[in-house]
Amino acid sequence: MGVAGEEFDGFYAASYRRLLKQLVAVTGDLAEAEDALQEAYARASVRWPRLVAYDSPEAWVRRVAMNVAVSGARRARRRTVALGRLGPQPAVPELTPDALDLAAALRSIPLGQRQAVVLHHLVGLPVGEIARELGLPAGTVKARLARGRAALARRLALDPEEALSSE
Amino acid sequence: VSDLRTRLDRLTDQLVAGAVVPDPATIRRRGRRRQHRMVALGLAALLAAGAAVPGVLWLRDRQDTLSGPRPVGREVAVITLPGSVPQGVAVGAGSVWVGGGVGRGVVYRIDPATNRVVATIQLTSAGVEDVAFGAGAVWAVSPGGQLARVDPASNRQVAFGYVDERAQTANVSATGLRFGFGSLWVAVDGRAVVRINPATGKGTRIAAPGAYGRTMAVGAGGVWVGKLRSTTTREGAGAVMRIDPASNRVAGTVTAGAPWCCGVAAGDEGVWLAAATSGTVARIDPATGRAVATIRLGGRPSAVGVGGGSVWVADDQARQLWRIDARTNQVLGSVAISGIGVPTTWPAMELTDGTLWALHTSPATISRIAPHR
Repeated sequence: MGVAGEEFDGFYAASYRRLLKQLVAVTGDLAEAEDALQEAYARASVRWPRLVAYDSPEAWVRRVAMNVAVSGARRARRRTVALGRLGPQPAVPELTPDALDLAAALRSIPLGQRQAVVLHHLVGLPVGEIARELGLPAGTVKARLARGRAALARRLALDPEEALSSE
Repeated sequence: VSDLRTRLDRLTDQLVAGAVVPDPATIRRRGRRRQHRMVALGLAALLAAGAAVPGVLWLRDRQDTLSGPRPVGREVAVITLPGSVPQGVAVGAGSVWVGGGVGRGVVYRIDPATNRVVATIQLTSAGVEDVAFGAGAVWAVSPGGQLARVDPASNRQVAFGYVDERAQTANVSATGLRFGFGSLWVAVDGRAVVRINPATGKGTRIAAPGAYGRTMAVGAGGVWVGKLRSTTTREGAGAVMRIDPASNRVAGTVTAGAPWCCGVAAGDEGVWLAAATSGTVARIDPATGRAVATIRLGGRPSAVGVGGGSVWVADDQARQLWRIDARTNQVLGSVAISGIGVPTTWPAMELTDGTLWALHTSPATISRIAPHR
């Protein structure tokens, strides 16, 4: 394995778990998040010589993984009806009551809002960067954040006004 | 917000608690399989679209690209270097000088008369990012911004310091070193170029957002430095800044029209940019900053060198150097070489007295090429 391969492996080891947490917050499903993230890393591995020159290869992987996850979510919706007929769903990790509430609240908001909430509140990106990462106008991101936060607040007793306070 | 952040953090910790990080080799294999699948799908689509004739033309062109129309020089020596990834090559004082690379604070001296490493010069710094020759000395910069001066007469480090005052107290990341216009030029931190007076060692920092030292060249009336590409804004792709040595400011930005340029060369033959992603080389008119010719080579053109009326372009994967006639912009042919550059440490080239020196990182060698007259 060359130096490029070693560099990629180092980047992969350092960023995998962090990105997996961000993805799983968006998908709500570990297997889906793992699949999307591994696909993104696979694409990154063959582009590594170019990606390494970027100021943040991790942002590139996250963006690709998010795109893969969004496509996967659309396919999953189409599969849901068929899977429902086949039997019980796979086991999910044990969650604390608080985490269960949050997971349910996240699932209740649209995917676009969930992406905005996760990128803003978990990753810590400002609105402008989220807009660039998702390829959306800043106004749209702000609206998604506000709606997402409001919806979460209704279910989790959060202050809805805090949504954009850390821009 | 902090409450939501904390709760999201806890939730995701619990959700990924049982996750196993797959072996990176598995991920790389998956990437390669996907790439092969995409190529196969692309070819199938090409054939299905009834594009057989253009396809055959493309393949013929590709074959020409890979084999080279005709040999235009010969690799006359391959010198093995100690260490794993050498960085930077310079020619001066009748010798060739190569940096030891990350973690090896040495400079190797090669004697062109014997094609052998005749000295390994120990530096104070722990590594060497790049080397340059100028003002009668060999200069080596470390990845952390330490600058060493080597006296070619004694093969010893005779001065050691930092690229500028800031580098003495803060973490600095140096990515390239060049000599020209009587000064040393060091790209630092992806946002500046430091101009150093070799007599005093004093550095002047010039703001150059995105400056990437491995794509820096001095000549054709300026210091030309490629910009890092920003992941989020996509700015900087294929762009090269021109620093005016008279004003010590970025005087303009050139775009090659390609997604990313991997090599920059400047000389009497103009300014040349290599774009690995599009397989092209662009010729820039230094007076206007505009591309006046785009030459398709195929493969992955990376490093570029100019001199003696020719432009030499290294393909970082195909073990060959292309030669272009700088007067006509015609591809004259290629030279097969025995090494390649690991793409993340693009090969360096130096031209002098009609001899071309090309540094490879895999294996760690330097090739001596004698161009055909």
